[in-house]
Amino acid sequence: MSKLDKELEEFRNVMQVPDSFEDGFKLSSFVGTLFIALVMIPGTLYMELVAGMGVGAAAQWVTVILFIEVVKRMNQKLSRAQIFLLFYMAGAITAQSVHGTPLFTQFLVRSEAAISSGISTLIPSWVAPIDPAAYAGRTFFRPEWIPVLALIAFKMLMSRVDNMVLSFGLFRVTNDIERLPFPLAPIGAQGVMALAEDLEERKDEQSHLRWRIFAIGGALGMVFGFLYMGWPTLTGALFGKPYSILPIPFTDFTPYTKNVLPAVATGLSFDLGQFILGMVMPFFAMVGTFIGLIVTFVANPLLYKFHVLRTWQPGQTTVETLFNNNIDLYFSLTIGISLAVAAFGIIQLVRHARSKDPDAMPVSEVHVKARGNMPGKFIVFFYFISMIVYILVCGWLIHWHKGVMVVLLFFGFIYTPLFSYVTARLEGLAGQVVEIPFITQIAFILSGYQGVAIWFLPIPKANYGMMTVFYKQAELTGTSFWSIWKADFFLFPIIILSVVCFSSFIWGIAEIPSGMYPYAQQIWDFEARNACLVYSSTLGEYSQFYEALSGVKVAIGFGLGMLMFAALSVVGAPILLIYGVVRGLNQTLPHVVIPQILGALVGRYYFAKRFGSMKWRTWVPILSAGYFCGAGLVATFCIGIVFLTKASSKLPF
Amino acid sequence: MQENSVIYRPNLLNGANDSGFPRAIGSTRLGEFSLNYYDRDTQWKYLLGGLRLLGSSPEKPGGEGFGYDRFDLASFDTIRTSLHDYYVLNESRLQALRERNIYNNSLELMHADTGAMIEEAMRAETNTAPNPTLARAQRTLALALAEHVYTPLRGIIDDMVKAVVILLLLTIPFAFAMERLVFNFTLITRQIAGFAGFFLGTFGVLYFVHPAFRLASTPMVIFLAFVIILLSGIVVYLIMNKFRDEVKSMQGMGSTVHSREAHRATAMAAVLIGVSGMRNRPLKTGLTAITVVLLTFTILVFASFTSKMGVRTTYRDRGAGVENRIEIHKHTLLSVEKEVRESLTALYGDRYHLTARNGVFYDITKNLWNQVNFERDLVLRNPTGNRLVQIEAIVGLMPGEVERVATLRALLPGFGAEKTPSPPLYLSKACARDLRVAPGQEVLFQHKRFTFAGFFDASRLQMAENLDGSKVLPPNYKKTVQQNALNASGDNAMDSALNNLDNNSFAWATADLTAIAPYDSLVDVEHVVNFITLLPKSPTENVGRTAERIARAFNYPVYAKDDAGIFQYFYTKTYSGSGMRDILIPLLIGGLIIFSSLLGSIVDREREIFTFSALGLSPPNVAALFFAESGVYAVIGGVGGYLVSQVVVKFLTLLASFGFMTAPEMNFSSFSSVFTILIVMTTIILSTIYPAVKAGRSANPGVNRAWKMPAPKNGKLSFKFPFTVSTQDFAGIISFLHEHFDNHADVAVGEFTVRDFRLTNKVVSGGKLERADIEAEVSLAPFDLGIGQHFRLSVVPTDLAGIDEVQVDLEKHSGTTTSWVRANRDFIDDLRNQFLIWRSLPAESVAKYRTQTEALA
Repeated sequence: MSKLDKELEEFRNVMQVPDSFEDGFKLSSFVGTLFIALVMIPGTLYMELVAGMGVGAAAQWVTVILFIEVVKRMNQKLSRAQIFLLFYMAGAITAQSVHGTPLFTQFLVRSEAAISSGISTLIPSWVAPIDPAAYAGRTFFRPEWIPVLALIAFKMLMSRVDNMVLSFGLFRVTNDIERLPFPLAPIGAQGVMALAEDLEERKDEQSHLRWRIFAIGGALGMVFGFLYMGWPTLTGALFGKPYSILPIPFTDFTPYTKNVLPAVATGLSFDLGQFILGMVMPFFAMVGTFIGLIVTFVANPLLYKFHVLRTWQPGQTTVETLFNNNIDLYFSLTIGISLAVAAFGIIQLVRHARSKDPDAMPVSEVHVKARGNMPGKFIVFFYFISMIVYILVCGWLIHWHKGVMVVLLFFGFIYTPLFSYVTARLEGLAGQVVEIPFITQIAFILSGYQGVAIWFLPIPKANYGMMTVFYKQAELTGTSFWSIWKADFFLFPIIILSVVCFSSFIWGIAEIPSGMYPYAQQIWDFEARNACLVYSSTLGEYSQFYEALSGVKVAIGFGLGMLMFAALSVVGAPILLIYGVVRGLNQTLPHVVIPQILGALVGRYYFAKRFGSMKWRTWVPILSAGYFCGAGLVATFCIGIVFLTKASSKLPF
Repeated sequence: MQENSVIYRPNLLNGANDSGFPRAIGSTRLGEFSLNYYDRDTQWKYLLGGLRLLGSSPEKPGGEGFGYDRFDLASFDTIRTSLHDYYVLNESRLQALRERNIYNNSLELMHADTGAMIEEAMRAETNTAPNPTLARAQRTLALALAEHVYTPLRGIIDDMVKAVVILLLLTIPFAFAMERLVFNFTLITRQIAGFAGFFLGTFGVLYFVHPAFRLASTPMVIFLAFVIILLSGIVVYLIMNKFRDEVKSMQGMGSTVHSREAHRATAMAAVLIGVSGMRNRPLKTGLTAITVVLLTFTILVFASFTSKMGVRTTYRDRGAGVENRIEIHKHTLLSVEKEVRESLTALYGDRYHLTARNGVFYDITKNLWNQVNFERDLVLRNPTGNRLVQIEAIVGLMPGEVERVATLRALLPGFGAEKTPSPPLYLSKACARDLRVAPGQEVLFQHKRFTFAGFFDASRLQMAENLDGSKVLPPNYKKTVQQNALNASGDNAMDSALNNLDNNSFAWATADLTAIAPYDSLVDVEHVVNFITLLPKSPTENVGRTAERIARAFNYPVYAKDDAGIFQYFYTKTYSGSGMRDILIPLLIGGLIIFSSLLGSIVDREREIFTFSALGLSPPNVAALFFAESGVYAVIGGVGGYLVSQVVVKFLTLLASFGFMTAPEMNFSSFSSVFTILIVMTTIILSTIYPAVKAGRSANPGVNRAWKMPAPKNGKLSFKFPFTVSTQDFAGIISFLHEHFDNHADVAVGEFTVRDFRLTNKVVSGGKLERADIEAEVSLAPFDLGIGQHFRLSVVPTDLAGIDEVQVDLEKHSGTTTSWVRANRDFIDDLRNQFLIWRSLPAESVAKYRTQTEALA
């Protein structure tokens, strides 16, 4: 067995899929959902406006752990499936952001940036009404806002249903047919398992260890989270100036390495979470990523010397460097490499389909039926119907503009299925997501459309591959998929109603942005200016995106990608290494790669040796889940205090 | 970046939404003008220092802002507009408070005075002989008064928000106690529902009766933040507890049965037993709770800790030989605003001689770049001898002041009557000598010519003081900063740092290096006007009253000398506890009620206490039981009394609205009311101390509350524990202690380690071990002291059949005797705790341990 297979096999064995599946949607879950909606949605929206940070993932843990504690004191049990579903629903609710509500658009349409650039009058009434009367009472419960709310509801409903059905289809392919390991899936699943085991009899040493590791991770996360995030947050709130013990989000060396490594973004992240993530990720994927990073370290100075990377200027920061390099080369190159990943995936899929290896055989129909299933034909049929609905709605909103219709067809029938599949494979193999940056902008510009309405369309562009991990986690925790779909059915009205009602309530408190919402007041104008800059690209003015797209560079990227796949396959390199290299080349923030590779090395050469490879592979996702739970809890606690301090000074004069 | 020091960002707001303008708006203060740059015609509001330009109207007190019409701006009267806006805004806020029955007399009075001054200003303008100077002076002082109303008025609303936060905090224990007392549900879901019901009910009452929820929207938000902090805090606590348990487990002390957690759980159980005990005596509990609620209500009605704004008058000195006068200056002796001088002249010029002092000196609060040059230029020059002398300051005086103030008159006889070709300049002898000038000679300062008019007595000048004890000489700010190690960046920061110093901390300019010149002669050099004196024209003038009126509009103390002496007048917040004497008796009664109630329950519950004691509650736990009881009374009394007060006021106001009565002026919404209920709660808790201690003692009659170990003899310690065990129990205890000692085997953590645990003197009956002595070799922490001992635990039969005493024998092997005895305190304490924990074990665990022991035969 090659290294490749060994590591994949290790991941496959981290958690075993249970024999039976349970319906996790119970009344308690529903009460939990209502509780989160009532407390967490207004909290997260308000916090974002006041402090620029939501309660995020920590709210999931808060909800689940509190519920478990209550249930424990009732001498009752929550099954793994119930806990997992509660976790999922909490996540779906707390994922709401003010940008998904009409709060931002009501500002955008009246912002200085939109008015001065003439965009304000071009924004359609289904994004934000123009009539000043619509803003008089600062409420969304007016007739002028009905189209806006209807469109938001449409987007939310479609994306939920799409994700549910189409992601399941991709999961069937990557998990049941291709038998990919989904290395990051156990992180969430193992955390839930640890929590579930607190309710169960500690049958063996293994189940006891899960809680121990989760608790250690949690304590580690709390301590580090306090030092890294909590202290600056609290000092910022209490003394007006944040005092950071470690630089956040990273320390940027790029301006100082301009002579040694021109056009290379250098820096270092001190986030312990990245180090732990490096331990969780497949080792060869991390090595590949590091190699990819080293390649950019060597190639970028040469490319700069030969004027391929032309825009970069000495002294620029990481963000500027990455942006300029993207425009000059990596934007097109990534498209090419992503195409190669897709092509390689398809080749692999075909190979697997022909393979007689017992491991590569599809899982049993009994298992699939017990887990919850949708017929393949239904999924394909649904996909076509869904895309057609998107395209028809968008076409109607955009008055059937021909160029836009072509773009919609491209997204609906080429881009979305292709990249969803590529992502599903990458998630399955290396826990990675692939996206082509600025593809939407390029497509819109090339459509020949003149106006800004196109930017607000509910276009059929999505990446359904990401949710395959979630299905894998559900499978590992023995959660019946039917209960997930049932939960989604109940979630949608709760979320949409909560979001609209609480947005309106928050807007009713004071104008947004205004002194009541200091973060929005400080940042939203900048965001509006950036947005207007992007929107202006479809007003017939010059756009940098024209410059970024080059067929030749796309072809080079594709060629390089295929060549790399072929070469590495010939020498028998691990498949995770190949995907890792692609990730490293993709200009993902380089500063996190170093702590990640350090984590991977420490994990493999210290902990794995000390505890045994298989044990370590089982423990580290739990440690990671505990860590992120602890860090998130401390962040939420500190943000709550910020929230409290900012809320007590409210009158502007 | 040099511009940053002169260009600063003002509080310019967008009139539409009261938010700041997004892009930086430069505002350069050039003399009296502000220049603001903006690219679009948007309504604006301006907030800077004491100015509030809002465009207020009675319909929209917050204002709609002003446009950029250049004609309007050209005739913009900032003082008149700001005064109007302040007045309208203050009126709307006071009205909002009045509608909720909240009155602050000091602010109402001051607000009324502001209105009167505005009317006077209007009359001065519209009289047959218009006096615009007087009108402007009236408005300037009215503006200062309006600002003095505005600031505390905002504070009142903030104060209410703070009060609500504290009340919300108290609502949590209140809801918990109410659920326990009223329902005492056994199921956790019902407990949560009961708690949530009381919490939401209390919150609902507060929401409807507390004006903070109407005046500001933030209480709701605070509530939300509060819930998020609470929930995440609980989960953090849960996870950290888990972590601690796991760490203990990894250290080999994982068996929670043996841990002190069990002991802590016992303490928590004591609290719950205390609350449950109250339920067992419903009549007594109900009556006591009602008494405390009514007590709080009474105290809230009688007592009010009100903070009011007003001029505080403080006697300073008799001021013998000092002329009657008023002195106005900043504590730092830095510049006094021109508007103040102008207004005082216009308003009091007919009754007072108004004089001012100015000076040329190094002002550290000003721009550093200017000061570097300025300090270099602080030089007197003798043009004939070409001599230069670096001085520290020039003091400018008005002849009117020198003539009327004896100290200055003695210092500068003939000042103002000189006949010199250029303005006269007085120097110390030392300075004149260094400069080599003689009276009548010309002296140059920067571009200005002076005539050296004569000497002054430097020591007299050095001693000359103002009414507040500060010197006539200006401070040497550079030395002051060095001397006091002040480190402040920015003008305002340095200004406030200097302001915090007392007079003795200032380093004053050296009299020998100071020159004196007439006030008028310095106005065309860079000078600072820093001192105003009002000298009464008539000896019957009421100087104190004038000083008090001025102090109301001035942000610094005003000093006045009248026939009664020297007084300081300072506008500040004054706290007064009205009815404090009235509440002492109710407080005492309340405290005694709780005291007698709890003391009585010791007698009532003697048997109960013994039972608890026998069940394993230690004396502190029994005391905690009583504290829990009084804590419940305190919380219920505090929050309940507060809610009753608010509801009563609401009801009376409602009756008043129908014309049945006049609504009483009671404000229970401020922080001071919350402070009052906290006092009541503290009194209740304090009155528990004695009953709790007494109950703790009665839990273990005849035995010292803290059991003391006897002294060692020849490296040996032998004693009996102050409790007994049943013979039957001891079999189980053997295995229980065995397990506990096993947790400490070969692990150098915790308080001790155990080696060679063995059972000796076994008594076997029917093939089962019934009794044995426990022996072991024990090392005690701190382990680096090398303390080792032989441990033996056995039982000794007592007179009562089946009841044994526990005998412990320790023999030191190594370590010093002192450290051995000290280290044994923790070890023995741990051992005693194990016996306490043993008594709280469930029956099945006891049976399990007994079976284990029996098998050791």
